[in-house]
Amino acid sequence: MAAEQAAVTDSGRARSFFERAWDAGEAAPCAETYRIMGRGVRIRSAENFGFVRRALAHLRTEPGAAPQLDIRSGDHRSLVLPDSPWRPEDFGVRGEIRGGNDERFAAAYDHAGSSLSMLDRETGRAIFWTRHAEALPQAERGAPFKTIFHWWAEASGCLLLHAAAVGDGRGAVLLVGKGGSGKSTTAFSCAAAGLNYLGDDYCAAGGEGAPCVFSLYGTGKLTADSAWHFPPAATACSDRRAGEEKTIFYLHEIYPGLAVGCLPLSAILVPRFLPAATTTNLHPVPSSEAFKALAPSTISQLPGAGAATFRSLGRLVAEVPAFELLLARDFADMGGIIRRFLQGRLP
Amino acid sequence: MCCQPAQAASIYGAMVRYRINSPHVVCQIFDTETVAVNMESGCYYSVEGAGSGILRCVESSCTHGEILAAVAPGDDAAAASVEAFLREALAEGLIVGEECTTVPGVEASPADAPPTKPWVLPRLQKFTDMRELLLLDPIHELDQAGWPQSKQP
Repeated sequence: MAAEQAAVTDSGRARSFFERAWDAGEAAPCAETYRIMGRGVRIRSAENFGFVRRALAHLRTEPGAAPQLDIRSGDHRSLVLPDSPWRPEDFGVRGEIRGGNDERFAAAYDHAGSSLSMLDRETGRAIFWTRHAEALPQAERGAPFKTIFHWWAEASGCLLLHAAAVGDGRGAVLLVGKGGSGKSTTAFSCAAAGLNYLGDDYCAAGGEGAPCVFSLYGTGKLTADSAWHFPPAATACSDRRAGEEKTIFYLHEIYPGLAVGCLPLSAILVPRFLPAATTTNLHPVPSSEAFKALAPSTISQLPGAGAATFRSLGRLVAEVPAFELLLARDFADMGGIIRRFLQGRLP
Repeated sequence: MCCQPAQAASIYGAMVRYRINSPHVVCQIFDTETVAVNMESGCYYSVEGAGSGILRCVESSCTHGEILAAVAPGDDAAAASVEAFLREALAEGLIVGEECTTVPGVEASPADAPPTKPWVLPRLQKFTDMRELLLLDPIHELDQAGWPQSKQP
């Protein structure tokens, strides 16, 4: 009985807090509409949230019907957050907030970015607050609201993935693996070769019937050594702050027209650098290889992700063939290799 | 059915019943390999050979004796490798053993566990490269409004 009362209290506390925070975000001056995962999303944000509008620019649409997800966002100047209703011990190791999550509400606090994300699944409303927008780490500036998109995706049968994705009219391939495995370099190479671009670090997959890959962000991150290989990036307006190893590029600005919102999923590729190899190549691998490269790194970055996400990732991986993409030192022809693969001419 | 956490000395008793250490541990079984993640330790694992069959039995809440009967019937060497695998899985916190003090009313069936033929040694490979991502230390210092804040702005 005590546990039931505590759950009711927690639920009421979360709801009360959410409503007050939602009202506090009403004054944000910028409102844009996007088509994300095939559905309408409205984002109201402060003027210093330009990184959001830029990362999602390729998905922007004209305002239409009522959005299915409505996000209000700001920092301490534009969204005055009510006092926390939770205790210090309620803030968990992966951002989960004990007492802030139930069937209706999802809540997480990102310690690295000092930011709160919260979703009301019942009404399709969400809030994102950070202490200082200017202090947000690169991971959040390059992939804003990914925790909210993760919850929203799962509520509608999709999955947010730690993966890059590129493709053409035939379909898309996911590039999976932890940081440094070659996802971004391959994605940039494919865009430079004229292939469509859906993301270099995060995207979503799902939908009814055969799975589709959905673009979330038009951003891509490269180290200075890698960026040197892409001349258009050298002159592009990018985002890098002191102490950050990588630079955020906006691929829809560098390669206009190549960023697309959705393509059918054809295969999953696990990139691996082979410095001694002279040509990039690929060969089939068991689904479990793709799963190992995708699942642990995905669920480790998503608050609340656990058994259900793990199993959904397993089902997704089992639906399409998996290949290891062996990357040569000279990756000039990576785009050509992926194009030939999509044409069915490889391996 | 009444079960209690098994003591180390009696972990191999025939009436020790195993289960996956959920919700901390999640598993995904593929044709030739099982992938498991321990969300508490931040480690993930690749299970190959007869290990997948053993974990299928564990998912069915089989007893120690039932697992040996299903995976290594009548083979002492195979039984020893199964026990070594179970010991390692217990040490990694992937599975939990509970000693049953009363006879179960309904025996769990290992029927779902496909026989592994030809016999391939169960193998548990551990990966720790995601530990830092899985186990970020929270910062418990709060501001006046009760929100966590970094000690170094």
